[in-house]
Amino acid sequence: MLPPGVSSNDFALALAAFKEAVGEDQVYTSDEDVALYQDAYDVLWGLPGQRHVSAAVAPATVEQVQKVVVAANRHRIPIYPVSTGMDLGYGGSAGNLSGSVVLDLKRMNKVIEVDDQRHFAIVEPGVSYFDLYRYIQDRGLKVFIDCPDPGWGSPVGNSLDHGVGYTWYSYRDHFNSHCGMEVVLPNGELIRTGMGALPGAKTWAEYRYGVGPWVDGLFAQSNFGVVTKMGFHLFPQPEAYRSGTVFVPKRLDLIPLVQQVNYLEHSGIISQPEYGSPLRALVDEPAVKAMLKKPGGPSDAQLDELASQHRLSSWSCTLQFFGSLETTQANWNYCQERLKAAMPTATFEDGVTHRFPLGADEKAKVPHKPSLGIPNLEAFRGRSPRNPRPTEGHVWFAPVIPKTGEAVMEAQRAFGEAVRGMGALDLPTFFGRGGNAYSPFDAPATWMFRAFVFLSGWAASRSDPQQNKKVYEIVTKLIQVAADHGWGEYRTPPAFQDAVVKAYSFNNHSLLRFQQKLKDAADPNGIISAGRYGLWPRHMREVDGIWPANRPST
Amino acid sequence: MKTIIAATFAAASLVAQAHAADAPLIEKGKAAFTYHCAACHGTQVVSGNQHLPGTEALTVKYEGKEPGALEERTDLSPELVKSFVRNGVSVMPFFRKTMVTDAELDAIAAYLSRNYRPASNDSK
Repeated sequence: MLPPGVSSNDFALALAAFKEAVGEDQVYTSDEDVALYQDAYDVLWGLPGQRHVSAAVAPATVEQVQKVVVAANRHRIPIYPVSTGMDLGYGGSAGNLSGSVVLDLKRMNKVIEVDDQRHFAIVEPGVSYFDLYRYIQDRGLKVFIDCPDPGWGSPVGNSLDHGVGYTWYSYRDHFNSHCGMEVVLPNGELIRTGMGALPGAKTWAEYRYGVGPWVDGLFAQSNFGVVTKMGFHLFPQPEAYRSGTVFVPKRLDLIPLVQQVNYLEHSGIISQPEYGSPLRALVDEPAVKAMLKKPGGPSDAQLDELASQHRLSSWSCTLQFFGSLETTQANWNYCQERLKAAMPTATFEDGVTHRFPLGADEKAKVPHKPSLGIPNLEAFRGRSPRNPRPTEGHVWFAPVIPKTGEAVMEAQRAFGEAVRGMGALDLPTFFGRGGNAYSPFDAPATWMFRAFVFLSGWAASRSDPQQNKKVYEIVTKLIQVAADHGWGEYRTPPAFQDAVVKAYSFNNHSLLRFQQKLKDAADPNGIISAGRYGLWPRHMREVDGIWPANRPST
Repeated sequence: MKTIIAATFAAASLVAQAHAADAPLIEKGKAAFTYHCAACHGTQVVSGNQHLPGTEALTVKYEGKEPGALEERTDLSPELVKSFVRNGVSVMPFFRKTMVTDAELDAIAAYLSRNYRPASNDSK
C-alpha cells in the first residue's frame, strides 16, 4: 500500500533514499515483512480502521535516523517511530495513520552508560528492559531498574508512552524518572535537552532541566521528534526488601484504609502498596455471579454478609519496604501500630523478606518480579485450567481516578453498571472470564504516586472481528462514562486516542489547539506520527479543525 | 517389522549426522532461544513462583501428550518453528525481523528441531 496522499513515484524515491541511508536490507517492503509491523493486539483487526503499514525502515545510528527523517520530509512520507514496538495492549508497532512507514529503532540497541555510584543510565531506544537488566547483572552493578510487567519493552519507548512500574515511587513513573534526551527533529536537526544542551556536559542524566523552558514533555505521547537517547535515574540496590499485608473486614473499611496507606506512602515510609480483595476468589461461584449480574449489583451489606459467610476479609493491602532488614522491620512495626490505631479491626500478616543481591533460585521464587525490578513475561495469561480459551491479545482501558476508597467504589459502580448494561459481563478479559470486569472486588492499580488507575483489559482477536467490534464499543462507552465522572485515561491504544483526547476538552480543546500550533511550527509537513494522541497534521484536520474525517473514533 | 526397525534406525542415524553437521548452528540457536524465547517458553527447572506462560499453556494444551517445554519436544520441524514466530499464535504475537532476525530464527529452528523425528511423529 502507499502512504495516504503520496504518489507511487514519490514513494519509490523515498524508499530509495531510505535504502541509501540504512542499507537495502534494512528497508522492508514485501507484504510478508510489512505484515509483521501490524499491531498484533489491534482491536480493529478485521474491521474498518485496522491499521496497516506501507513499509518499515530500521536505522542503526543517529545519523541514519537523521537521513531518513530528511528524506521523509522531502517526499512528505508519514513515518511512525517505534523503539522495540512491543507496547502491546497500548499500540504495538503500527502507527495511528494507516500507510505510515514505521521507523523501527530496535537496532539502536546500545547501553551508553550505567553508573552505580551516581545511579543513572543512558540508553538507546532499542534497548529492552531485559537488555538493561542483563547489562547491569553481568557487570555486578549495584542498581535496580524499574520495569513494567512485560520486560520486552524499552525504557525509552515505555517512558515516552508514560509507562509505569513497581518499585520506589520516584522510579515507578518512567517518564518522571527520565533525565535528558537526544532527539532528531522533523527537519533532521539533532537536539539534546536539559544539561545535554551544554557541550561536554557532565550531568546530562542527573539534572533534567538545564536552563530555560523544559521541552521534554513534547516528545512523550506525541509526535514532535524521534528520540534517539534517554537518561534515566536508577534506584540504588537496597540491602533488603520486606512485605506485610493488612486485612480489613468490611467493605467500607476501604475508605480509612486508603487514607492511612496514602499517609504512609506519601511520607516515604512504604514503597508501592498493592490493594486486593480476598472476596475476588469467589467471583466464579454461581451465587456470586448471579449477585453481580443483578441490576445495581450487590449492596455493601450483602458484600459484608458474603465476607462474613466465607470468613474472608473484604480488602487487603500489601505494604512493601526497601532499606535494611532492621529499618524495614521497624517501618513495618510502625505501619501496624498506626493502622491498628486507626482501624482496630485490622489484622496483619508478615510477608516475605529478601536480601540483595538475589541468587537465581531466589529470583525465580519471587511472586511478582517487577516489584524487585526483575523483568519477565509472567504477566501474560496463556491457556490454563482457569483460562481454557486464552485471548489472542488485549487492549487496556486505563482511567485515572482519585486515590480514595470512595472513588474506587464509585468507579466500580459506574463502570460495572456500564459493562452490565452492555451485556458484557461474560466477555473475555485479560483478568479472566465471567463477571470480572469492574466487579465490587476489583482493586485499583497503584503505579502512580498520587492517583489510582482503575484498569481493565479487554480481549482483542485476530480471528473474531465481531468480538473486536463489541470490545471497541465497550471501551468507547467506558471512555464516555469516565469523562462524565471527571476521570480521563492516562494512556490508550491508537484506536481510542481520538476519543480519549476528545474528552480533555476544557475551553473548547484549548490545550489541544495550543499543541497544534506547536506541532505545525515544528513539523509543518506533519510527517512524524500523524494522529498520535489526537494530534493530527494541519492538512488532515478536516472536522472542527481537529480531527480527520472518516476515522472510526470520530 | 525388521524393515520398520531398520528404516527407523536409518532415519535416526541421518538425523544424528545432520545434527553433528549443524552443531554450531544449534549452539547459536540455544543462545538465541535463551535470549528471545525462554522468558515464556523456558524449561521449568526451578520450583516456587516461577511462571512461564508459554510452557504452562502448552502443558495444558497437550495434556501430557507432548512436553510443555519446547526444548523437550521431538515433533517440531524447523518450518513449524519459523511459522509460529512469524505468524504468532494465541496470545503470542508475531515477531519482526529486527526483533528476531532471519539468521537467529534459522538457528532457533535448528535448535528446537535438533531432536525432530518425523517418522515417529507420522505414526501419532
